Amino acid sequence: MSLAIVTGAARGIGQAIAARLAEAGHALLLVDLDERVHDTAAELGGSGVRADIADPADVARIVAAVQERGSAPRVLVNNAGITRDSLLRSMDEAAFRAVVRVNLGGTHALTEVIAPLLVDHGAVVNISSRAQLGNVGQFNYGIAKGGVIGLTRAHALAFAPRLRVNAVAPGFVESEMTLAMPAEVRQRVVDAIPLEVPGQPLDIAEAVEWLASDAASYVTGQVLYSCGGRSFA
Amino acid sequence: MRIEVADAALATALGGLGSSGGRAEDGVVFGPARVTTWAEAEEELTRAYRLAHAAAQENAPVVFVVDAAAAVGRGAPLDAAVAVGLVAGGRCLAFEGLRKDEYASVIGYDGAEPPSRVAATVEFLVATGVGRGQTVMVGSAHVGAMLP
Repeated sequence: MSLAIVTGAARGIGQAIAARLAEAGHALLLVDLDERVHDTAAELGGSGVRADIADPADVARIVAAVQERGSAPRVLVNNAGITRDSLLRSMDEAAFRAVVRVNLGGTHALTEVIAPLLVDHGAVVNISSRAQLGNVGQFNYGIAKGGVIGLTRAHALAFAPRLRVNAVAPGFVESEMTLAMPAEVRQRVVDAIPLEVPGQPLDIAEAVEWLASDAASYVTGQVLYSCGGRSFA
Repeated sequence: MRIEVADAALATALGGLGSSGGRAEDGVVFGPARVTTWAEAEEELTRAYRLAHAAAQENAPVVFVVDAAAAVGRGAPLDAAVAVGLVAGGRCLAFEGLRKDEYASVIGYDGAEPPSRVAATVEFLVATGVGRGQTVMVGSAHVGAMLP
């Protein structure tokens, strides 16, 4: 059974990705700063590592956990991320650095150490965001998720032909956070989506699973927007 | 304008528009250095944040100047991360500044054209407001490569 590593997997989109990859036959190594990662891993029959991907010592622990499994991984999904939204004029440097360090620095750090361990014809799937096309209050997040696309392309070239590296850019996806938004704000966001509904975590998981699979064997360095058409509407 | 551009030839060419001690209220131009470590990448992106933040306090224009190869993902991974990150940052700034008519854009420079073309492009973009939130390529080395 091939091994898939998923970060930010304790809940939400990461949890859905892990579940979809398990259904597709992958063994799982789940990573999250949230200790519920152990519960999610137990539910899905995998193992969990509580770790901060922005901390080099924790990245080393993740590598050790992968090596303990005794078989080379086939898939790495870099999903872990945080937000600290505010207009730029009121955004402080700590909020900027934190978002860039976790979303972009963490993705870079983990890819650099895990990619050499992946089996030939393995796949890396990074989670970017439609927000990198421009969003109010997300200068930090936009830079980080745009940076993830830069990494995706450069790593796709660097690791070809041995590995494929792609990204999924979710739009507005239903989550604990978005369900807590004021109803009128949420409705305004949904009204701007051509398909007129928010995305579900499973929508993102399906896109990731396809990019990680042999069905996408001729696809590398690409960004798949799963956003209901919002990327151009 | 306040101009912080790592490339020495570009910095010289942009000298007619301002300097590192220039006034942020007249606008900012930032061009990152090449990076080889994450710490360097984070520092370059944070420099961009500081300049853009200063410009935002003054409703002033922002132009990022990035390596064109890195902006299409052809550079080293961290250079590409910084360049494409700034492409996205320019879009976010433009989006956020729409209501107050604040200007932001990105220039991709491949090094084949004279640096004076970049200075002329900055001047044109800021004066006209053309290309808001867009990436303008100065040079033809990457024709046909899709921007992220």
